[in-house]
Amino acid sequence: MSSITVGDQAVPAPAPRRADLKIPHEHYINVDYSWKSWLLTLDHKRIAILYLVSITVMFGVGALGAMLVRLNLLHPEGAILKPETYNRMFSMHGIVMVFFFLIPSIPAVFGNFLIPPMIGAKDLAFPKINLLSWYLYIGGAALGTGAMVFGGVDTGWTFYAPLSTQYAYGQVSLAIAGAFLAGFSSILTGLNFIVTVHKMRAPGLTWFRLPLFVWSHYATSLIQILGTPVLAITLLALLVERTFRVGIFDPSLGGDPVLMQHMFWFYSHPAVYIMILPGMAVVSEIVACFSRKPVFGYKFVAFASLAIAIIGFLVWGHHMYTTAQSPVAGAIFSVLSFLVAIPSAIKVFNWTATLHKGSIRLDTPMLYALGFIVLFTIGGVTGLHLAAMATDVHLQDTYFVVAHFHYVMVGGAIMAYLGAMHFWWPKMTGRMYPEAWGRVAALLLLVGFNLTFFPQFILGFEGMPRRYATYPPEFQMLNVLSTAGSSIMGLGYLLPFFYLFWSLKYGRIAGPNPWRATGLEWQTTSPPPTFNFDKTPVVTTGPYAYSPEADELMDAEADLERAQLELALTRTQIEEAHGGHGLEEERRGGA
Amino acid sequence: MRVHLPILEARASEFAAQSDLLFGVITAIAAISSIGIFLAVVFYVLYYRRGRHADRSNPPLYNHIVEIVWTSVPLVIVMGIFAWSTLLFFSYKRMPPNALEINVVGKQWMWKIQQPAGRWENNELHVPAGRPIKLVMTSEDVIHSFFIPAMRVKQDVIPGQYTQMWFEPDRVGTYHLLCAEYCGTLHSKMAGTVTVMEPAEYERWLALGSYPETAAAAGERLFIRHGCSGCHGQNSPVRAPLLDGIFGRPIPVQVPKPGVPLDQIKAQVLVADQRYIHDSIVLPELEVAAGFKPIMPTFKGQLTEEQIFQLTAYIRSLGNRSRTEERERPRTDSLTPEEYKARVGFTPANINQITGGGTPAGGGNIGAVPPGGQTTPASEIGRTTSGLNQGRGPR
Repeated sequence: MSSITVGDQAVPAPAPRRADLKIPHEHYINVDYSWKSWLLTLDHKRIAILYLVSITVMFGVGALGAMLVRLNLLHPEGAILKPETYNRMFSMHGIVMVFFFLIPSIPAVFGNFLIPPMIGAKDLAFPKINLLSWYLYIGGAALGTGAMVFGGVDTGWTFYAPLSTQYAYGQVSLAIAGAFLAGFSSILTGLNFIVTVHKMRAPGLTWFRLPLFVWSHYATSLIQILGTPVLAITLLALLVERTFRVGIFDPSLGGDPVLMQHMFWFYSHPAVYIMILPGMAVVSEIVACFSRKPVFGYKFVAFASLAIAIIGFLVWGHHMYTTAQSPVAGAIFSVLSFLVAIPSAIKVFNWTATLHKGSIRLDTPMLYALGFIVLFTIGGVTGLHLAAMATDVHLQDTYFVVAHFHYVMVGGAIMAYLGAMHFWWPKMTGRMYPEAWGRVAALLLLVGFNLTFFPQFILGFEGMPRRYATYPPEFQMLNVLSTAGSSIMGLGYLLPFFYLFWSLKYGRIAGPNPWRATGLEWQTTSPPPTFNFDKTPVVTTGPYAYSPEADELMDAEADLERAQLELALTRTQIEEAHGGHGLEEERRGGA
Repeated sequence: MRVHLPILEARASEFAAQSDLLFGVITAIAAISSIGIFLAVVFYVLYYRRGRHADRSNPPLYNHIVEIVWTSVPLVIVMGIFAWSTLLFFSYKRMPPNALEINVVGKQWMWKIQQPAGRWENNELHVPAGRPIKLVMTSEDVIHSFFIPAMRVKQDVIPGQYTQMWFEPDRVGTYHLLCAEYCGTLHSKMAGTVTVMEPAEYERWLALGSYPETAAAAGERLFIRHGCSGCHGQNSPVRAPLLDGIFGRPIPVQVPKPGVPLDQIKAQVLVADQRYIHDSIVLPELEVAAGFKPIMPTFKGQLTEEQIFQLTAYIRSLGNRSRTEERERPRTDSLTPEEYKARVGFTPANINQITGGGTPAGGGNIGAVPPGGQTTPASEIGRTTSGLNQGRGPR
């Protein structure tokens, strides 16, 4: 790939003209179209596509649950559902979105697709384990969906005992088995990433030359392999208690229900970081590319990921201030919860500082990334209210908590997921999405999202508990507002679904590097060949070799060239219109 | 839209006011930082947007001083919030001594509440203003959470445990009582009201209901009806501990282990508190009063949690009664197990004499408190004691 030099920095050359772009003759998609070639593929990119398709289906299931929940809350006595059905719907929403969408979303799709090309490798370290992880996911998702179809689950995604082990009807065991299987899929993905990043980096790609995307995924993988086994143990214990009446958590059998909460949150709080760290990974890449600048304070951002992964393991007790947890234990969890806010804040400040002196363009991925920065900030600072024990005993289990984690999970993780989708869509498919539609959808989502979830902060402070099928009438106004917002947000989700499909056939051809981005993944063709690179790249510089000045210069030159073409064209048109009379003549005539 | 927050009007305790103040300060900090980030992003996007003339020379890639500043300033702020919140929370967890104690049982999907004077309420709680109200709570089935938004407090209500919360209402009025922990189908209907009344009015209200007896009196009936008195009564032929004065005092127990004969197990001293009485009734094999045979049958499934509350109230009332008698009961409060053994001795013949006041007594064949038996604080014994440490504040 060619580059030009500005000052002492080498920057990528402008994209070739559109007409010169073409889809490569052979790439990872068209090598073989057979079912078998997809279902038995060992290619990390194809596995990523398999994940993309399957988690999109699961997102649809989860969104259906959310839609029914929001519709029902239009009326204080429940607009459309009986409490029983309502409980099943919010449980479905939670279980599906957490276990079958958010946890695999960015790592299993974009991590899978991008980590090998980003580090100059042909594939992940264990391609067969990668495929196995997808089958485990599919098994888990099938069991989970089966549970929803054949009776549903009304425990919430938290499966608290003894409700889940003795009192809940429905297909609780199936759903637990599904989450159990999906957990192993997550462990295998994490394991694969860690080994790949350690062993398969291209020559010259030292740790501090890695894109922050890889750093963040590395931190995520650590949580996946260290935390998920505890979830597996917890779920297995629940299954054993529910099936064989062995007392583990149920006090009537001699168990301890608070033990279940400790074990559950030991995984499920770090799991929040499994969902958000990959989002941070994406934002670092997008912000750098669309402000044409290296990420400010690279090492701080990289180590902040690790700090989040480590401290994140020590804060689970902040979900349990209102249980029988002792105040001293609560204080320790509280101080650690405040501490974990710091590396997140460092990241936000560094991304914002990256914009300083940049050459900022607001393409769709950047809209999502900027949305992430602001919404994640709101989600983060409202965590302070919940980390503080004195205010948490009021806010715990209210809509304040719901709003807080949706600001992080939707405003953060899903914004980043969609940002990644638009940013790397040309790499994955070889074609561009329609930019104008992309921006419309991003803006709809941002507006709809805030309208949906901001009122929920107020609802929570007002004292409306979560998981309520019916509610005191004074909460109706804010609930209606929230439901209205969710319908706008729903539109924002539907649009990309359609235009991305459309672009597969009609989108303009992207070429290898439509964003003039610097990562190794942009140095291969779009879509990439099966083994990513024709020859292994050698890395000699750090990541993000962008220069805003060079870009401005290039843009200005391109503008000049375009203006000159325009001028020549206009001149020709006028001359033709006047039968060969010159422009000067025309001007004189006008005067 | 006019911002109308009814919750601020429904603020009915000093803790609620302090909690709101803290909430307001955190919210202000949160708003300033969110808006600050938002404005910075908007400013940069406008100022450095592509094609706008601006100075982009020598963009900084890192700056350690800036990093240190924006790491340490938020750190100081959040540690400040932590200190404030934790001090406030600890002061809330310190249970005032003169509280009016009310029993709460959560069950799918209602709250059953018994006033000490005996009156029962469902999904309603009437309390006098100006006096600390202490709730001692347990659940018959799943985990619930007793939530009074107007007091800004909630406490999980956990089966197999007693948890406690307290509040001191300072404003007369009727407020929401909600279940905050998802507990099954009708979770959202497990709601009611908390009515705060003037003390005089509360006394009138107490007298209004048709309830024949106090909690302790109801407990006494249960004590007889369920045959407790057959063993634990004054002149019982069965060797079982007398319960007079036992409540709230340290007693030695043996915690059986599978495969180990009971007489080889060292005794431990714990406080015969509400948790202990409860577990002795439903899980008698868990802790056996030292020196007695483990012959107590379980009453699990035969007694509701409400009835256990009443029995406990009765046993508690026995303490007051027997205080006046003070027979030869050894003072056990300050004794080590060795002293205790020396004082009590093991004389199997005269049970009543020895067991008065719930002290362990001669088991004939076993050493109730073997020499060297260690003293263990109650909080470290048993699986369900942790809940009862709620409200004692930090040590």
